[in-house]
Amino acid sequence: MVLEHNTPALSAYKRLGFHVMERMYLTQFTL
Amino acid sequence: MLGRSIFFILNYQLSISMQITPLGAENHELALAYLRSSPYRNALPLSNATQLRARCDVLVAEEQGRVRGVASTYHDLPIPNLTFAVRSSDVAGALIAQLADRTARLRAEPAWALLPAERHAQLRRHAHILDSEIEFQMVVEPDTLRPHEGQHARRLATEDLPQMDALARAAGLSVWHSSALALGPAFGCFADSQLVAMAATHFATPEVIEIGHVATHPDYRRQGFASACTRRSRRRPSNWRHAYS
Repeated sequence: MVLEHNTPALSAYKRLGFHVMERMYLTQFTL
Repeated sequence: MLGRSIFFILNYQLSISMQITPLGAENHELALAYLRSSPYRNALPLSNATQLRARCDVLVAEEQGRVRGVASTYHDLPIPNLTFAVRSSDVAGALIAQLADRTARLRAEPAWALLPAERHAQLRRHAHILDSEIEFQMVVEPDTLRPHEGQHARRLATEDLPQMDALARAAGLSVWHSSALALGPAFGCFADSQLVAMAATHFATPEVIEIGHVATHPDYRRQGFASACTRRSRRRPSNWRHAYS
């Protein structure tokens, strides 16, 4: 997973051939 | 009034006909088939039900012989956590409640989940959301992973663990665990004899490999080290797929 705002990491992985499969929510919660 | 009565009856029928039991020999095959219907979206639930099974609590909701959902928590992570795959919010609520009954830390302190939008909305109905941050699940198939020129990465071994621990701390990895080498290969780049970047395996199922613990020492960033480590992680059987984390 790559944080949405981590543009350098997103670019690096796209250069390797990765593509975005799904938008995920890293969520902190209480029950 | 009539509408409320029908709603009550429907929910009552759901509660008496659905069974929630731990993952075991009797429901293992059905539960895995349910999760494998969407291997990328269910990558985390699949890993908890397979490779990481011994370190997880996994519950399966069934109704009339059909799986309605699967929820699990991974005990090795330093933070309380859960994941689930369901098609109905009511089933999510029942599974989460029973999981929390069995794992006290899920109610004792704030917990974490990494969920697609639909499941995030389902969690919101049964939990108080404190914070959410968007991450992208990045995917590549082995035969479309492009070559990387430049840095050399080598496979890491047990004797490299002290340096891996130190790099994880320097890079601020939040879910690093020294058992990583037991879950799959890890690769690293060195400057002189110092480990300056690494990529390891969060989990490896027959459907998806999650590459994780990707870290570069702050003094060595933007030089292609992490890319070299990730590139080496592709060397798996050709029928395996990759999800990056």
